[in-house]
Amino acid sequence: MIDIQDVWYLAGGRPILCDIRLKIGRGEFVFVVGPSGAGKSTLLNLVHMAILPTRGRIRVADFDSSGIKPKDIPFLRRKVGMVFQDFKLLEDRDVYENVAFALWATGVPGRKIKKRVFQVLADVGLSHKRYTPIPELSGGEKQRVAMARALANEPFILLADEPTGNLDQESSRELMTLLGRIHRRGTAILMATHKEYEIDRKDARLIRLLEGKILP
Amino acid sequence: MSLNLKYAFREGYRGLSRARVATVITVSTVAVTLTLAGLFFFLMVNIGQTLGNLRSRIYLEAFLNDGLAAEAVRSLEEKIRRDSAVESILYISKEAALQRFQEEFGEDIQELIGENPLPASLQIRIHTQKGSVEEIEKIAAAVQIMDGVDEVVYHKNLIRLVREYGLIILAVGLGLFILLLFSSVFLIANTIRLTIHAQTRNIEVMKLVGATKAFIRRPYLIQGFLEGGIGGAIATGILLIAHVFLKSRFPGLFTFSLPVWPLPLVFSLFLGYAGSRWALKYFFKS
Repeated sequence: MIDIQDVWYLAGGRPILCDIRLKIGRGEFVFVVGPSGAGKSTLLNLVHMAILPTRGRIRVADFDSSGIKPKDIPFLRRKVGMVFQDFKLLEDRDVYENVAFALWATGVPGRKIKKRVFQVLADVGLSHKRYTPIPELSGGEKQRVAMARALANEPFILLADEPTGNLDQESSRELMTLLGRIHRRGTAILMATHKEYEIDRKDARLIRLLEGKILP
Repeated sequence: MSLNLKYAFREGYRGLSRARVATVITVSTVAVTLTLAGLFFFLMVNIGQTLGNLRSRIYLEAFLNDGLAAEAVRSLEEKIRRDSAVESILYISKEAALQRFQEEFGEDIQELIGENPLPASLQIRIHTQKGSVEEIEKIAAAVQIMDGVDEVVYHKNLIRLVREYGLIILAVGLGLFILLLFSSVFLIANTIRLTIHAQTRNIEVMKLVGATKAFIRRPYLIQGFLEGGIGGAIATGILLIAHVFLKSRFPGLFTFSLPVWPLPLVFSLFLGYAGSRWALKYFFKS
């Protein structure tokens, strides 16, 4: 499903990722852990093809970084959901509109949007706050909206870049439980975090990244 | 209407109301610019028509020696006609000249001085599109030295004005007109750029969730259409009122019957589209 082959990524001539080899199968739960600056976000951005490798290739389902055209990238993004530490929500809209936005933007027919939005909001436990403006939500709730938005298009993998970075302990625990639930439904998860102590899953694979290299 | 279009229209409208001050400035500037451009257009059409009228009046008049035989006149005509710039030649006999004089001045000069002092002449018309001032001067000089010709006269200054300055006036007018249109495009592009900059987060999110470039651009193109269209509609209204007013005051002013009234509106939609495309190109490049 995701195949990262001998990938290097250089920024300003400086290596950020060195010779990364990694395969993620369908429905897997993978943690990428490491300190700040280890290259975790860069790795996730490469999978999302927000950036392309300097050397090597990445295959995500049918998309190959070595030959992908800019016009194909939106279609990859519909199959790969992503959430960030800073949520990246539209602050001038409410919860419903933020989730529906992902469906509007990808051309989902109108009659299906409402049903799907209510479904994912129920999954993340925010049905009751569907018309609440974003600034009125707590950090944990904002991250759940971001997650609902990422799941709206039914991606086969969810990339989570430090999703608990801005959350308190209680909210972080709730989010990890939610991620576990999403995973149990068959969605693969690739989560980058520097908080190794939060990982309490026995079925997950752990990859340690340090200075751009995967530790053996 | 498909959902995508409905969404694009709603977002386009939202874009207008978000950058309200910039929108009002742009719409009013487009309206003023197009009104000026429209008035300018009518002015140019009228100047063009006046120049056309003047052009048709350009001729040389060759006065002939008294007592020139009809055969000699015909041979003169043939010689003059050989120049391709000459369109037509009209022979005005002494009698015809006298009649014209009487019609113009209302006096019988023959009765006053006892004879007809007016010479016969050849009125030589030059093709309106052909013949520079120099060429006309050359024809005049050539005719002047022909046998049987006494004197050649022509409206040198009028010819110079029409032939030389007419084109300059039209070119300057056209240049100003194009400049006005460009400034409209630039203004619309600038408002859209402001809107886009205020929406950088939205665009980032759109890209994140897999929106295509066309989907992202559409609301901004519609916003440009709306800004241009509203400005154009206002300009059309002002021009229509101006037309009705001016026509009632100066009935001879608008002598053409082109269906020009929808033009500012069509132009404004084009301007809006061009402005948005310009802004989007700049944004996506940067």
